[in-house]
Amino acid sequence: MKTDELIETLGVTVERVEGRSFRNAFIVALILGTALALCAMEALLGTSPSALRESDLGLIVLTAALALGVVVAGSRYLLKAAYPGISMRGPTALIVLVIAVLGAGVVGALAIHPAISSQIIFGPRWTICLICIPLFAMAPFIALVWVLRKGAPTRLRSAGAVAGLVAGAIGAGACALHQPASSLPFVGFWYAGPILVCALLGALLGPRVLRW
Amino acid sequence: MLAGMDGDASAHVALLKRLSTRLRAYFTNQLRRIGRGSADAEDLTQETLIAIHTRRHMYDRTQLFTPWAQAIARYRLMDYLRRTRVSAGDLEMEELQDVLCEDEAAETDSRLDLESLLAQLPAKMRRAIELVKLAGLTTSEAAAAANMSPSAIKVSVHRGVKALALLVKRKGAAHEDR
Repeated sequence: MKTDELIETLGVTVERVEGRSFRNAFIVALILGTALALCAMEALLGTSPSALRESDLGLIVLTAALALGVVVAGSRYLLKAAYPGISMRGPTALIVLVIAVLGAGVVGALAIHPAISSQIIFGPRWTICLICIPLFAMAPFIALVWVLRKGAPTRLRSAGAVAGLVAGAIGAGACALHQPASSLPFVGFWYAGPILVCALLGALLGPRVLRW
Repeated sequence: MLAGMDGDASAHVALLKRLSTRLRAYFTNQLRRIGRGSADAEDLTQETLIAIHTRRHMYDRTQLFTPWAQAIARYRLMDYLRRTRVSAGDLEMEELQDVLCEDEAAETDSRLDLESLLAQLPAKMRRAIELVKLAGLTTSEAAAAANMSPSAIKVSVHRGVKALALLVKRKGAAHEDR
């Protein structure tokens, strides 16, 4: 087809578009993904109120703050990344900070308790976090990919990585409801670690699944 | 752009038309710069226009328009390069080689044809044609080389070419008869 003909064809249907539609869809996807992650957790593991009551309030707050912080910073990034040609300096700096904090958590967990690090790594319930966080992250990741494809991300690898990061944080939050952290190094290693793994998977998948 | 987003079709069409010229120039330049043929520049222009049309809700009204369109054009180019990296990229090289080989063969064939035709001409005419038409000498240079007068060279070339044309014609007729 000739380019001019194409332009005429495109000019036939020019309905008014709303600038906020993407933002709303993104929030819907985030809530939907979180709800699905919680459902998956409930179906597979079930919440344990007794474990939540017994565990240290400080650790619960820390875990919640960690998950929430990653989700908020990541969402800010993705909401900008979906719009082409916008300066990403601020959101990128925030994401780098988040990844640095998560990485420091993993390294710190090993550094603070070198003697019990083997016990942390091979403690009785460690497999649950390692398997379940990426598992619960799948639904939010798919929801985020779905909404990002409606947008127009131009850097697919970093957008995929951050989508994985956010999904991993949601998965970690869901996982924490079943099995609250028993110690600070546990948070650092078994929550921060799998979230970073999710980000890595997102970076690998991004260029393929986010194409538009 | 803003009028188009509000549903003004004619403003939207005018915008796309203006963009298409710039996009075509951009893609042609970029493709040439990285050593790809600019043949797909038109396709890329159309793809980008479609993207700009279908993603116009992804334009932030508070931001500048040019970086937005530029980012989409750049993305379409990257996507095109990723898409065509393996399959078509390799194919292009092969095709190019094939074309070169074919050309060489055709050239050799035509040289052999010419030699066989020339062989059928009288020696004088053949020599005159070889010197003037094939070696590219001037009439006086050829006259000196062949030990003939310039006018004799001229006449020989003229008659020789005529005779060659006749031979080719006959050969063509013989081909058709067969």
